[in-house]
Amino acid sequence: MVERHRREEAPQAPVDLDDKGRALELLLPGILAEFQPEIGATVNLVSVTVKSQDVPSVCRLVKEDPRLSFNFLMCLCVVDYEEHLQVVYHLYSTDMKHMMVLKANVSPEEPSLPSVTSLWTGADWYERESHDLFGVVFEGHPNMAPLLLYEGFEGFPGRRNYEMPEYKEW
Amino acid sequence: MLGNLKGLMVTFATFFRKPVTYKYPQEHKPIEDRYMGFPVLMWDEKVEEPYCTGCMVCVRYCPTQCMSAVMKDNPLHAEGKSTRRKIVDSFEINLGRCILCGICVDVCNFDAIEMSHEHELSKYARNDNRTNLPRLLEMGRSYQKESGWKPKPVKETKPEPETKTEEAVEAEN
Amino acid sequence: MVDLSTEGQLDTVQMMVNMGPQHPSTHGVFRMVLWVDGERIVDLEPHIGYLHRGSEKLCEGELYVQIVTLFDRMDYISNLNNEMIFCRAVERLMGLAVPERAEYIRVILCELNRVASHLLFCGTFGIDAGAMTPIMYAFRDREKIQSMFEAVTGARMMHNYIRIGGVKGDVPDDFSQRMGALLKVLRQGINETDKLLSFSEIFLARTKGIGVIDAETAIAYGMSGPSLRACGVPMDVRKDEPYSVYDRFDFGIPIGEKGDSWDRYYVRVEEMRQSMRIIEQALEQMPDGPTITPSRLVLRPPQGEVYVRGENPRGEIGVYLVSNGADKPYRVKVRPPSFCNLMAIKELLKDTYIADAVVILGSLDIVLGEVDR
Repeated sequence: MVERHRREEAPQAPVDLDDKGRALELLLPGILAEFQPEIGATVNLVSVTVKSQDVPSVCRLVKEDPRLSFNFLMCLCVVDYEEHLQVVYHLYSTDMKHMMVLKANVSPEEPSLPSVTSLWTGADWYERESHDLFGVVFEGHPNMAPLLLYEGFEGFPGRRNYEMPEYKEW
Repeated sequence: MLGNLKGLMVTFATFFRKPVTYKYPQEHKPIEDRYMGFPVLMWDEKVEEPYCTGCMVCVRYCPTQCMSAVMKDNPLHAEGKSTRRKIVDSFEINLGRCILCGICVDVCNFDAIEMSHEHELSKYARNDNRTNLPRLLEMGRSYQKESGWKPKPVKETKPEPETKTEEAVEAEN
Repeated sequence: MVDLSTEGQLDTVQMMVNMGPQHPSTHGVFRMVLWVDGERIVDLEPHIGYLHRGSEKLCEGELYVQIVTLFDRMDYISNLNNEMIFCRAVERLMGLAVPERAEYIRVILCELNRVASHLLFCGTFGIDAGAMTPIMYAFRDREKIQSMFEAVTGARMMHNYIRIGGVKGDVPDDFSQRMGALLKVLRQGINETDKLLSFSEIFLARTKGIGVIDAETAIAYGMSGPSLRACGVPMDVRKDEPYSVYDRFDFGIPIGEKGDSWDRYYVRVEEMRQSMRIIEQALEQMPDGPTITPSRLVLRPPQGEVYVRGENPRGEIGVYLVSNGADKPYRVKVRPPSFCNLMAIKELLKDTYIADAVVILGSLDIVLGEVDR
């Protein structure tokens, strides 16, 4: 299908937080003050952007703070914004039942940031997957072997600039 | 022990029920009316030509790119028998690639393509399921006969595919 | 590693056993490399990715209407639940309202799909534990659900019925009648499967106390759904953060006590009964009206990112959707429930016997299409 250029800049989706999200929005700047976070919001969740080297300390803080207690790593993913790769952590608390997004930007040339497997064991396969598809190196991960792709696969197929092999019908 | 005996009771109880299975090649399970089998092309019996004008909307929206279509000028239109200015010249669906999603039927503006009840298409060679226009129309006619299919009572639209831009088609949907 | 000195004075040699990728009890193509000491599993390394199709990457090249078909094929046992989560993500991003009737149809079909999925689990789990008969009963009833899907959606498995903004079309006229009859049959069928399997002494011996995981570890691994609820954590998105019209129904969340394989099994059996309760209430409350909010075929949602959660039969599914305002999404990330549940297999299988490996893996109810995407 042909790519058609957009005529005008697309509108921004409105932010629509629920009560828990608004409470978090007020709470988070105080707790995370020392990391100088950028607090924003996606459509339905509070998002916090921090420096990539701060990720483990921020994660430890939000996990252990009794007001937040984010003990459940819901999802970890990487989004390729071409000029930078963004590692996105979706955190959930089973006690407070609230959710937030933690983001950290890394450079596409040498993407690396510390692993969070010591905090949430469930980050294990997510980090291996991100390493496979986007080439993000998680320092301190116990076993960074390929997970979804086979060993010796060239390139990072998740990235936008990955060239898909031509399809041949046989 | 008790748990096992209870289980055995269930087994005994089902001894006296009718079997629920069908002996497949001899016996077929009845097909529901809405069943979506492979897509086929419909035949306009009033004018004796296919409904399809080869406008390529279905080709564009097919998630697996399993179709291709070519359009030509309609000779019957020149004779004044048909309102269709353009008509399909060749149409091919690779039914081996088709995933039966029904998107082509939803986007079609001319009721030309329908999901038939055809679902048994085992072939000997890999590409034997590439189906061409005459075969698709034949399948369509047998489906029309079987199900009493009628075109949807739509608003009077002039089928003029060549003047219809992509945006207009989108807006219609 | 196990301390071998406690095993007696005989010298033992660790052996590597390759289980899978083509093993009937791995429910797909999944490989485990087991290091065993006699019958005991000392260490293991799971390998996934044999079914990796790059669905998330494919989504970046497809229109929004076409992506629904991709989501169908991710978790191919509970297609409707998967379709619903993607459609909800797009609707949330666009702020699109869904007609009441469509919501009810969605809920009924999703819960029916949950019953079908759990029935399949009960059957295959019986086989994993050595009981051949229950799958015949489970499939008999699942078949009736599939026929119902065929009557409503036109397809038995890959429906493409739930669309962005509603559902494809209204249900057939005799829907509630047929559903009533179906529910009656299902209730009896579930009771039969339950009676046949759940309390059989052999089955209990194979599953009770096998593959125990405590709540804290399960949460650390990100387990969700029935596998987590079996540990006694009542976490269910339908209750915690009611989406669609789930807040209008009265239903319970069955939880287990010990977190062993039997609990994981029985939570699912009970869940089927709760799902039937939801369906009954939904059938009663279902209003008349339109079934889809008309929207353009080529959707261009506004810029933004959204994460929506939903409860799949296998656990909590999440979709992280990033849009840049184009007709195709910028990034789609799925949080696959079985992916997270399967991660805990390392914890579950350590120090168990090799004969129990099959039962424990079966009790997690994985679908490899979703694990590998």
